[in-house]
Amino acid sequence: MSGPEHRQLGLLVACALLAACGGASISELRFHNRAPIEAIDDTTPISKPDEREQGERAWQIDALLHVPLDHALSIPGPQHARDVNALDELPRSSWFEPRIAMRALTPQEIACGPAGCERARTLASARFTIKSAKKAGTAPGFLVKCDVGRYLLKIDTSAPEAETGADIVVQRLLWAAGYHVPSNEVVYLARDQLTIDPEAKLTDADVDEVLAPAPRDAAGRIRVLLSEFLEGKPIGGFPMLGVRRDDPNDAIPHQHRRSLRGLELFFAWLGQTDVKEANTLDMWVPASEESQLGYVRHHQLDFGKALGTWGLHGRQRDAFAPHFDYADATSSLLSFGLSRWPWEDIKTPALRGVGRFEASRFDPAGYSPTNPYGPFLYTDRFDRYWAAKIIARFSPAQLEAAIAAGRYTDQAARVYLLSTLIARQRKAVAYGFSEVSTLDHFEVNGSSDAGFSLCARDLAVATRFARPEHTRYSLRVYDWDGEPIDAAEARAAQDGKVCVAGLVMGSTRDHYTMVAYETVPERGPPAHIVVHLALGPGSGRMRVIGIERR
Amino acid sequence: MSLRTLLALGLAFAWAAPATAQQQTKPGETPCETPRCVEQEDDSTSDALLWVPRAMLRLPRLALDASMRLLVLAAGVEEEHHIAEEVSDLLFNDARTFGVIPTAFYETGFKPSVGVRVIHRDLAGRREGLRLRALFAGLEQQHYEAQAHSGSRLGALKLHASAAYNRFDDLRFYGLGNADAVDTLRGHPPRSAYERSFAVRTRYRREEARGSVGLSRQVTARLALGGTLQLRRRDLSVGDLQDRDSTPWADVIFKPESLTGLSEASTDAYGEAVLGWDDRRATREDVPLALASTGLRVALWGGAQAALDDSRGSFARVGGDVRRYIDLAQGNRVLVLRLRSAWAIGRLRAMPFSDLPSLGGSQLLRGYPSGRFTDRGSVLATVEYRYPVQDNLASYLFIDAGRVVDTLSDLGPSGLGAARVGFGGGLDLFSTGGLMLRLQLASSIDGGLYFNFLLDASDEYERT
Repeated sequence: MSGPEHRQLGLLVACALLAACGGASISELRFHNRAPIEAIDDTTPISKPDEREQGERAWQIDALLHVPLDHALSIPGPQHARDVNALDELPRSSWFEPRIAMRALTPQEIACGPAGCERARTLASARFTIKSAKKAGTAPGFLVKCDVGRYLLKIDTSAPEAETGADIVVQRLLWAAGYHVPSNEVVYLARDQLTIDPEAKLTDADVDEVLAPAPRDAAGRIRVLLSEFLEGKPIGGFPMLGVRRDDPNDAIPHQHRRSLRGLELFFAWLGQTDVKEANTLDMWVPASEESQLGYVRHHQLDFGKALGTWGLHGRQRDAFAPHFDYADATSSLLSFGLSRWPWEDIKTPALRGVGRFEASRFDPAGYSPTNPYGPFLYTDRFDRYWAAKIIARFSPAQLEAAIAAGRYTDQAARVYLLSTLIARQRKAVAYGFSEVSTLDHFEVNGSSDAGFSLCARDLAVATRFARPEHTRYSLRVYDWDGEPIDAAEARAAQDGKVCVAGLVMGSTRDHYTMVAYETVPERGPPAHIVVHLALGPGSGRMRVIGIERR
Repeated sequence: MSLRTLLALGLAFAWAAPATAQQQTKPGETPCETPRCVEQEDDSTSDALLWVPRAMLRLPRLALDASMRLLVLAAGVEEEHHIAEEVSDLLFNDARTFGVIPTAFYETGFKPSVGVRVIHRDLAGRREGLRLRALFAGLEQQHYEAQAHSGSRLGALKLHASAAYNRFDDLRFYGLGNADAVDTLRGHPPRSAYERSFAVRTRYRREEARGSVGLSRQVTARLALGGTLQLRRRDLSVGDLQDRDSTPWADVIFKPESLTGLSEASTDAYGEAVLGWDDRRATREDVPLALASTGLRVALWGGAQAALDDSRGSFARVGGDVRRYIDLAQGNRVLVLRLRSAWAIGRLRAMPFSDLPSLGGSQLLRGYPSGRFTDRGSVLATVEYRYPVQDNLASYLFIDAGRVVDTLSDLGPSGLGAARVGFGGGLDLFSTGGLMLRLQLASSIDGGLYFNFLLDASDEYERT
């Protein structure tokens, strides 16, 4: 370890000590004076890794026994996500590509999804050849091919429109958030649009039998979900802990990836509980058709059990508790049934396509996937805040567009889903915003020969979770050495904007300056954040080089 | 709420994303820009103090890791060779109408038994059923049974037939009545089993083979009537005095002439009529039918037994069993109230002692050993509370109160006041249709601890 690194480690320990003594003091943490990283180059060409395959039982042993027990025995301390940049944001990578956080997607973009609007129209009139029966997963279906690509064809089995609708809604929203997902569409197909490949070892009767439970429209067309084969070659799901050893680009243990840890809040919002390695897929994407080199892109798959659909299979505790909860079983046994589980009064709405999905009993802090998922054991408040910011970005019009893509035939079902998603969105965002400072989007104006002004947006105020007239901000300004050089008080505008002008900047190290905010909310403890600023080389303007959210 | 109102809510969430300078990592680099990115494990003071427990737990973690690797390896082998699938294919047919299910049973006082249950629910396309059951714990404790019914082949009328063989070399008999048990009267001259003033734990053997045919008719969805005719060959006996078991044979303690049926191989016929009412149901769709939430179940029976050889053994039986299920909350916190009474009518000395109503064991008056109380009549009242623990796992707590009686006059307030009381609880693991596993622990006001383990599959969540 080099000298500066030694010093950094020493500073880190000091930082931790100071942090333990109180949030208001300035830490010894310093950032490099450079623009925050917006993209991670994890696409260095590699040869195709072997296909990774984990059996269902091995996964269950891992998820139900090994991972939670080992996690408990390891007595883990706080472990900040490692794939974040200096602004504590997720740069673009093979895991995540910020979309709605970077620009306001139009409702139509969300309705059309990753493949674009033309695709759904093309598929509705395409002719498909059934290549084989679907092998993976429990839902019946076929592998089919048409002029525009190869698809997995699936149908509703638990309730009409429920699985296909949920898959599309969640796929659209996760895609808009930034996750890599397959291109899925709900399409109504006439039976004669499906022909059987002679080598498929299937008969018309076999196909009819599989399609029999699928709902049909007035014209007799069959409602199916078409999920396009992903680009590249499949190499299996990614492990929930650690890295893929055969992928040098996969440098950060998955439990330390915010993109996976933050998924917990997305999944809580959307009632996605079927979380397992088999519902992820790594694709090795070659540089060109003939190339022997490529990179690995990481995908989330299969959302048909989300939005309470799994609750239709008799899983009352869906999204509230795992298949078997040791602690809950013990407490239930000893409390003699006197305590009431939060899911017990939930009624399934009598609406076509709607699962056991509601908002009144939804508590994002109490969300549980069906089996414990490794990265979620490490999810911290910073990950939740990051996810909450993205969730908050979805407008009702965008949510409505995602629901429209699900092609629910009952208008009442669409309205119910929209109102439920909005209500759950508010709860998820409130939860994510409740644990950290919600000051964000810092903008600085200033040069070396004068003071500077600093503006931020308090997202809790902007989203009306906090009232500006009851929220106070105290600022303390420090130089590189941590010496106080200025102080100020501020209030937020109605839109959450908090601006302070005429602040004194540090005099050394590119005018390195730290502004520590203490937010005193109407209720709850104060929240703290330190913004690190320095003069941009060559520009002569101050810029934000790091954020230290506490 | 209208769509327009919902869409109006969106204004709260709109703000502009910040414009930031574009910078990219070098290939293979992480976006690690601060020390916190590099050193994750011990980034707080409290963490630094945790090295001691972490070091102590290192070994258990390694052991856990090793054991899990073994498990995963085994799971991998199982999945690769589809062992569970192969076993399932071997044990069940594709339509799941035929199955071979392992069973096991243990009750304090008996040897652990293992066995198998074979079920066919559709022998010839009209839901004709066949059930075979074998439980084995050595030659001295075995039970085999075959049952068949006609399903819907005869419409509302159902034809039943069954055959069974069982042998138990270590059954208990304490004499008649409700007296407190004393350790032994060994060395004293035998006394009459009819005295009712004392009780001693003794044992005897029983070997019997029986066959029956019957008809039942579902009169309404809830009401059923049925009749059965049974033929039985039975041998009650005792062993020799050299046996090392501390429990004496019945004829050591009780006068052999007071043990009707002992040492007499006999054949008898028994005809019985049964009236049943069952409107139990689950009050919620997502509560498994195995946990009835509410309803009433009544069974009334009456029959006559006739000895077909010279031995004594002709008498009548009547009885009733009423169970009321009360949904206390959520359809799965259920109070079960039960009243059961069984009577043997006739000349007491003509009734084989093993045919008399008795209480004790894992089902009737739990908390007492099997066969603890025997007499001409028995009365049992049960209050049981069932509640869920997890999906398909439920627990129950119970109080059983009961006594045996010689005459109806024994059922007066003073008689009932002297009832024996057992209590306990258990855990049931069940599938949607039936019980799979039960663990039950019971005791009583007289002390003792009685354990019952049952691994079985039944069509219906049922207890005798």
